[in-house]
Amino acid sequence: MKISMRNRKIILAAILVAFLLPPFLGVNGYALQVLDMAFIYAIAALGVTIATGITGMVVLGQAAFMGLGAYTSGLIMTGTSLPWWLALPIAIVVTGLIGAGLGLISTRIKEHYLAITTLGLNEIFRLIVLNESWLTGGPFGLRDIPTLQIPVMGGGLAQQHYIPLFVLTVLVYALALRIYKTSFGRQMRAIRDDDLAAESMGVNSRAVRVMAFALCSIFGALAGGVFVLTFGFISPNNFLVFESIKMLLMVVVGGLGSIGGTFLGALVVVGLPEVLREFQTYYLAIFGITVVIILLTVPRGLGIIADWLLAPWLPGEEGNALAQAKAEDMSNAATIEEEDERATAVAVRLRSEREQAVVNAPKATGDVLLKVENVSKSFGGIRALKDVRFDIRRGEILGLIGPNGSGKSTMINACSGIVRVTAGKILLDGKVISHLPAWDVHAAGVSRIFQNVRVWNSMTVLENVMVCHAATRDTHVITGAIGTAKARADEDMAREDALKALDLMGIRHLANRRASDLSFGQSRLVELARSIVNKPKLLLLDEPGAGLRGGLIMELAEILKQLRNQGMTILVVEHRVKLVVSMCDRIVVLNLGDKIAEGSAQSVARDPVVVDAYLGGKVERKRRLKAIETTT
Amino acid sequence: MNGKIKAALLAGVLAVGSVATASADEIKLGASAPLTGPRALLGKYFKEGVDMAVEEINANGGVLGKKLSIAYEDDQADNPNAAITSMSKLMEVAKVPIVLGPHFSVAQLATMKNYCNGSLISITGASGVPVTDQGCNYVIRIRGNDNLQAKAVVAYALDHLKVSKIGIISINDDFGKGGAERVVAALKEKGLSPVANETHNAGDADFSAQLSSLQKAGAELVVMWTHDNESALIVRQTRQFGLPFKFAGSTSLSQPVFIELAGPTAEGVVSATDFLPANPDPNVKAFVEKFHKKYGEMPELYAATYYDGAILAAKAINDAGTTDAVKVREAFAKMDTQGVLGHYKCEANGDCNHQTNIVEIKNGQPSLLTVVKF
Repeated sequence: MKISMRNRKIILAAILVAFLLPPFLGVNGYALQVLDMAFIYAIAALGVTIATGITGMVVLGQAAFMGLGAYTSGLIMTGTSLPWWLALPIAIVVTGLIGAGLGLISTRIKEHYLAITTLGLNEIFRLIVLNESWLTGGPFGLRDIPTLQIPVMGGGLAQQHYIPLFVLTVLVYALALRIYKTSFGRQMRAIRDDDLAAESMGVNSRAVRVMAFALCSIFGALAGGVFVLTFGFISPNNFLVFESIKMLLMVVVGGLGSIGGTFLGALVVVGLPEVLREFQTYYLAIFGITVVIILLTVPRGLGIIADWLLAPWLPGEEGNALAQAKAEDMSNAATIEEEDERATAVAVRLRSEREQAVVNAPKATGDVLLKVENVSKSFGGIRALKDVRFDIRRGEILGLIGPNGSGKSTMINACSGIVRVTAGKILLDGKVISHLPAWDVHAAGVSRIFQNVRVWNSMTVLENVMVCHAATRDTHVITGAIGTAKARADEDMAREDALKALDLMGIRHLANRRASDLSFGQSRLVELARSIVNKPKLLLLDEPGAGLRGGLIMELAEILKQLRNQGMTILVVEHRVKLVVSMCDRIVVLNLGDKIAEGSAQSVARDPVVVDAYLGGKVERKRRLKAIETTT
Repeated sequence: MNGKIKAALLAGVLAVGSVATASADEIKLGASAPLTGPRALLGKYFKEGVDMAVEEINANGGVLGKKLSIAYEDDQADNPNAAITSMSKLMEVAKVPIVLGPHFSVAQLATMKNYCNGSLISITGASGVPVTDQGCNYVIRIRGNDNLQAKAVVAYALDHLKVSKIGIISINDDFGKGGAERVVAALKEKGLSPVANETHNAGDADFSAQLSSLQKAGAELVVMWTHDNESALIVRQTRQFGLPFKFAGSTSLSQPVFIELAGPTAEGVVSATDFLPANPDPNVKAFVEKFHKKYGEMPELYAATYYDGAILAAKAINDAGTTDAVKVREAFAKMDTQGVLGHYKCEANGDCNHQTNIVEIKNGQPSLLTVVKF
């Protein structure tokens, strides 16, 4: 059953129109009020989806943000008698600022600690509202807030507010869908999937987390403000931790991370208990069981339905530009043998290209690009690096080898800003980079791949590469959401460069695949593509050949040579001696955190200290034992 | 497919809208009670009281010659959102003229903006002071408000116990804080102020610091506004230290838990309560007997309050001769009748009960000293 994007749009439009009808069909005020409530909660829960579902920070205090928005706008309207259209924006800005402040905290407190922290903040909010009764009305709440009358719609408040609330909800969801697709949306998802990889690929995770938290609180505040205008009464009991948990439930039932699913989740969590009211004392128990059944049988069910319907507005459907690539992908049966063949073919093509162009390839110039000066790194009592110093010259491929546990990966992590050095410093082009956060190191021109492939699984291959592009690196939520000319131009440039990088890796045809559907070798190539999309000065490769088969290894070696010819400097950690010797201009050898040798491949291979480190010690000791035995 | 699910959901919501509404030979009233959640037990007493009243009313010929029935909806006690939808359903779907409850003040206040348009009357036992000062013409309160108990305790202490040096000890939560504030206000009306005003935290076990400052201030009587367990500990420790204070305070001091934990030290402790099962008043006696016979347990405040509520509702409709909410409200304004909790006579703001009972613990049982009327 393949329904085209156009038809899905028509279906969605029909559903939206159906939602507009109830007030005109004489549906009773109670049903409308329940739906009003569901719309309001859908807006608040969308904030949770952004923070929790999309950015991966579990927020258990959304009711507090909702309450903050509600009390701020309520107090402004009762205290200063400003009109609602001033009070509501003020409340949103105030709450957004507080949310951003909490976002700063969230960069230090992560995962379940963050969940508990937000839970605590929710309780603090309740206690303050309860106790400061001179301001908030205490346990009996703020009672005299003017509700917003919209007599045009006729009927009671529930009828009057139904269509405005629905339209507002649709607008807010459209905005969220838009943000989801922008560079900011990609960065949020990259942080959720793998924040370490995101940071070392130039995503300023601190800024993104703060913004995501601010967005979460803004949606909460909007919902709270609208709640006040609709019901005219708020009390601490409206914003208990229980309500926060309910909103998280909406997000989870809606298929964690699905924007459309959150709306359906809100309909279920608010509407289902009302439908079940007939069961009197047991209705909440039945509701609970229903939720459990939904989560057991179709854990992402509502999300899948919603995402299918909203597919025209979700990433991965970029339209005609990629239709051809897609068609290629369809015809390309991805058996391992064919994959291998394809890789070999790419390798052969790259080699012949290189041989033709060899005349004008830039030579290694000899000036220093990266300087590692007396770097030490300790993890507790263990010194992973001791006073290591070496240079990487511009345009060379430097091999970093050593037995297991010799500090190679720590060295790469230090160069890419993921671990801080304990002593010494690392300079890129004469500037110290060892104190910078990973994303600034990346921006300075250092890029890397990881020993274990770290692609962002939930995103398409194209998005994986686009996340890293310099043009869309800064978090411009507003211009991105509006779609200014510059934002669109940046987006196009990022897409074009990403496709070029994929082309170089020979995997352009995979652009629309989800990264989680790729084979290991393909993921490795995606990782490589995203690390070179910005044309970094220095590329750090941590065992790029690990787990790859023959054809892919050949392809990899050719790609690296090609990159070097394009002027990139490469530091590679590798176990396969053949690959290292064939590829590297010079080699640095580490053992137990010490640099023990440096030089050309041949000279290092003959160095007795190196031989000793890899093989020698053990052999010698055995011999001595034997000698002892013979004397006895 | 998605459309179908949404349509089904919508249809479900709409279907609920289309069922019910009373059939021709019965009159349906609503009840918004805590049927689920942590306070579901209170909802159970609420329902038992109302069901018993409905049985009696129907046995005596019903309302306007028709059978009376009740549509229950859950408001989860103090959850404003649940109360809003529960009241909205009773109002829009069942279209009842009178709703018993919501009982909790915050739920009352949350729903008022909706029901006060004259489509129904809410009969409530919510004791929060603001409930009847919101300008809502359609709320009928059949219990005294929170101020009443504090006033009654202070008045009894001054008039009957002949003390003038009064100290206060209260728990540091909204119950205790509110109570202490009201006691201070009641004293102020009499031109007095407390000699000491002490607080403690929930779960405290040692009250020697508070008791010694009360003693230093020379308190003759200590008004306590705290929960059952803490009250018992305070009274016990006072007697252990050999301090001479008398004690008076909130309803907690007439509850079984307090009496059991405090043991002999509970003797002579005075408190205010809206419903006392041991009250010798014939109305109360008859109610307690009937309730015990029907359910095999002693009634408590909720059962008594909403038993009265249902009886009053039936009477008001009979007096008005119609179920039209506006006319029924007029009937309430003229009402002058005796119930279980007290004598009902409604003021314009909807306050109908102006009395509370002063109780003393004698021989391990709460017994009625006097009824304070305002």
